[in-house]
Amino acid sequence: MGFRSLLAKRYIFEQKRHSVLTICSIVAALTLMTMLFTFFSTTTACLRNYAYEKAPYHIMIPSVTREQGNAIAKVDGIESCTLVQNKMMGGMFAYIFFEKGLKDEETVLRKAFEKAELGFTIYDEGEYVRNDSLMQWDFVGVDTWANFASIFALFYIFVIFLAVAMRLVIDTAFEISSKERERQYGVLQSIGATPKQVVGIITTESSMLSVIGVPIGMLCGTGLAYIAYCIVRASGLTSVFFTAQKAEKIMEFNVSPLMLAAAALTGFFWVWLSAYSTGMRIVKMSPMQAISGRSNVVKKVKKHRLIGLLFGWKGKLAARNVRRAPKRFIITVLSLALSITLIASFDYVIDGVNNTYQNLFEDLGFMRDFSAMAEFYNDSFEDVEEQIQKLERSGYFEDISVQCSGVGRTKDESTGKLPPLTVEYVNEEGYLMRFRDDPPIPYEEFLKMDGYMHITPSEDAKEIAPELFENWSLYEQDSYDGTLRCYVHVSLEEYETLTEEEKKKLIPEEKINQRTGEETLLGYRNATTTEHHFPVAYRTPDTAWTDTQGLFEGVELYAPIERYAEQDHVYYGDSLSGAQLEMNLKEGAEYRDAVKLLESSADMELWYDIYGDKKAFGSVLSLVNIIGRFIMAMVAVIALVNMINIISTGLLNRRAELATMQCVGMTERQLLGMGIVECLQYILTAAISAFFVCLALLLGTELFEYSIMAAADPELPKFEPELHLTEPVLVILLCAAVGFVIALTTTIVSLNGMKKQALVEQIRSVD
Amino acid sequence: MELLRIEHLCKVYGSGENAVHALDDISFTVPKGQLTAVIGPSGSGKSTLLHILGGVDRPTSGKVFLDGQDVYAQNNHNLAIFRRRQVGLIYQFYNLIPVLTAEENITLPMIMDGRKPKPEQVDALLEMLDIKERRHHLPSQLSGGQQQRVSIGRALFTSPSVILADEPTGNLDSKNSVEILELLRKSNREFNQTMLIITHDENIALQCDRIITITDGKIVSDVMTGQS
Repeated sequence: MGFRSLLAKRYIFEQKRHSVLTICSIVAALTLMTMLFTFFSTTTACLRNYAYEKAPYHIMIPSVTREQGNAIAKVDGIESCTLVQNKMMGGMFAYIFFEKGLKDEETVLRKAFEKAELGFTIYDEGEYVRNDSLMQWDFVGVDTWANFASIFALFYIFVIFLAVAMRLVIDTAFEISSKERERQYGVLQSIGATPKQVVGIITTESSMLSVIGVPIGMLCGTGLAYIAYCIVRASGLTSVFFTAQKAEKIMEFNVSPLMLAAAALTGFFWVWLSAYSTGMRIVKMSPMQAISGRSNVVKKVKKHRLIGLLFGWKGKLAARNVRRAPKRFIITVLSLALSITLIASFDYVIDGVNNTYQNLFEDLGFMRDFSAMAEFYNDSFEDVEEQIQKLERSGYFEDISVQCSGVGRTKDESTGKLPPLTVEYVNEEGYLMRFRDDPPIPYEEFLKMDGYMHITPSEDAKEIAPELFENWSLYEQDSYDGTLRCYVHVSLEEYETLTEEEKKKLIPEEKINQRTGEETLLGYRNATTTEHHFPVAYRTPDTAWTDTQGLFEGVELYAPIERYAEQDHVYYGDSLSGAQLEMNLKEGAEYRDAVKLLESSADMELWYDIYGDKKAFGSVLSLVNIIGRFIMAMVAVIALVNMINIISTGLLNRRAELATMQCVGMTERQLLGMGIVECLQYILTAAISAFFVCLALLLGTELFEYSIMAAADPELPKFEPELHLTEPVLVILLCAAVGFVIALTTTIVSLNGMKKQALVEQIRSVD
Repeated sequence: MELLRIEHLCKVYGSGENAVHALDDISFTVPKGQLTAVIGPSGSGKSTLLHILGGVDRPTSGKVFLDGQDVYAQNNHNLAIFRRRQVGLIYQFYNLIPVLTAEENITLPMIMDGRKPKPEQVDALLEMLDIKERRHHLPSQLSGGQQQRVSIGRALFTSPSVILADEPTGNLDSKNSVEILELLRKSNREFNQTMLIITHDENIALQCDRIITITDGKIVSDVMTGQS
């Protein structure tokens, strides 16, 4: 065994504690890295499966004979050619798969077409179908590897970020262990070890530790990735994109040997790099500097008055001790602060973002899961009633609100102007939705009204645009005379009898099949008006201005839907009409089947799928939640391991000093007191830093929520944050307490360990 | 024949008003085979001089020639090889590698040189140092005197041009001190080894061929004792 390997091995066994902590750091880094790589390979596998589910072939030929199929299958480069019966047109489909990794698929395909005597070439692209997506994932084709490499390169950027973050921890682990052996490295150099040989000892040590740490980290990473995969499947994320059956086929946990190799290589290289940079730092010193410890000379001493005031001379000593290695102090505090910040703010940020998104829908007036327009074509409102019953019978929907609208103009007696008039006819659900489940009068009373409910502009609207509502007397009339827009249906036969002049005035009426998009001309409509009287039975101000209501300066009247059925033809004509339906998904109902029903209806057009949008967002948030918590846990473990390493090593490095202090009269209690102050410095600095970072994060979240709302509502009042700091502060205090207990335990264990040696032996501090 | 030549050697620590002139324009030569003692009060620069001669600390200015070669004209890599082959350093506090056995500590410079130590050479040296039965012990399992013997063995094993010993008996009792000094003198006589020994002990100094006295970084006296 070379002397480098010999020394590296001896150092590993001699400093077991350091070696174990370094291995823990490597394991933590590799766990995260392997999780990332496994996530990548699983995602690519799922995307490949998705491409396969959509079209299970590389090449599909719509019509082949069995003989042709057999001939194709025998061509070199073709992995398989499966024949599937074409039930609609007869004959057979040929589903062709190339061998994975085949570069020149065009030549192979040309040969296959020739051998099968299909009668067309590869250039007759209408004769066969290519599934380029699946071929890409199966690395069939010329540029597929280059494309995969570019995707992988993008993903690798995240790996680099992670590796840089992990570098802090691994660097610290190597730096601590090498600091203890600085004198020995100096001795080695003084007896003739070249800088390359000294660095070689450290990198050999890192390789040996990596041989243990990297496989363990990869095992943990693969295991945790699998757990995350199971959680994602159980969370329902996949149901947003696929049905349950499809999800079963598409979702696949994939551990790619190539990705594992990439994770292992990256891990080995990164640990080696940490060791190399530590070694290079050491060999920059002259041997004498290393032997005499001149690099450890304290050059400046601060007075630390505040700490002195709080904790006395123990505090001053502790403060000076901690600041001897400023880099280590900063790294430890940073990692602790990051960990505490993540834990304290994560829930708040996630909940805040979720609430904002969910509330946004309500603020925009979307109070139901689905919004659809149902059209009716004959003279009766029964069409819509039939569609509503169909929806109810399906078992997928509940809380179905119906709204039919009539528009026209009324007259403002005081000004003579003709402001708009809308008459909205609603069922009970629609009525409750209009007033956000807090109506001014019960629905039964609304139903029995002998007249119309007049909803006047809200106080908010009056404040926002007072110039629109200057003439308030419009909103105080006891009744309104309305000139309503009315369309009279003109059949195709009647149309033919009209003059050209008369034809020009008509608007075509087309029925669009919402499923197929097919348009059918039903006839024409002649726009005309009717005049009617609308007595006001009840008047109420709107509860709040919302974007859907808009700054509507006209007259808004409400009536039960039953009255629409009576008034329809008389008031609004006999042409195409529509009813806006809004409904909720029934609890337990299958979302995708419900959407399919709405989309497959010929007479219904699905406008908004709020349920799908909320679910997709919620699922993304779930995924972020899961991944975030994993990362939080890892960061916390790494921060704590780092802190334990630094505190324990700091004490051991100073055992001669601490023993000297005891020799001149410091009691064990006073020593522990100094240790407590050192722990407090780490924890308090981290906790205070975390508090300010949290504050910035929470402000940022509030600002983000405000900007979302402001984008939907330009007239929103100015930004006035309402920070709820109680919970994050409590979490910070709890984390600080836990951190302090761990730090204190480390201190006590280290000091107790030193007590086993006599003071004189500690002072001599023989390696 | 001149082996070691030092020209206008200076070493300054710190800067400005904190500057400390550890060595102040020192020049002298040492012929091959001479046993030289360097004495002086604490803080006079003796150890600094030794470290610079050994190539383990760079001078601020001046030159050191060993066997005609300018020591500090070399890069760090060649300087390490120079230390390995041309210099044997013995420290007051032994400075052994704690994870290596006595034998491994002794043979380490040769192994670093890529050469395989001859077993008979190792045995002979261990015999001479009277630590043969402790060859497989770690430094923590050896007494102070035994550790210093190992340190001497490490310095002698590669037959370097010059041995530099910094207070080799400073940490030993009188019995061990006598034995260690005897070892060094034996090496000087039998192998014509050139040696520089830093010491506070006048008796040790008087046993050397030459005594150089340093005070405040300057040579104040350079006398031959008549022992050679």
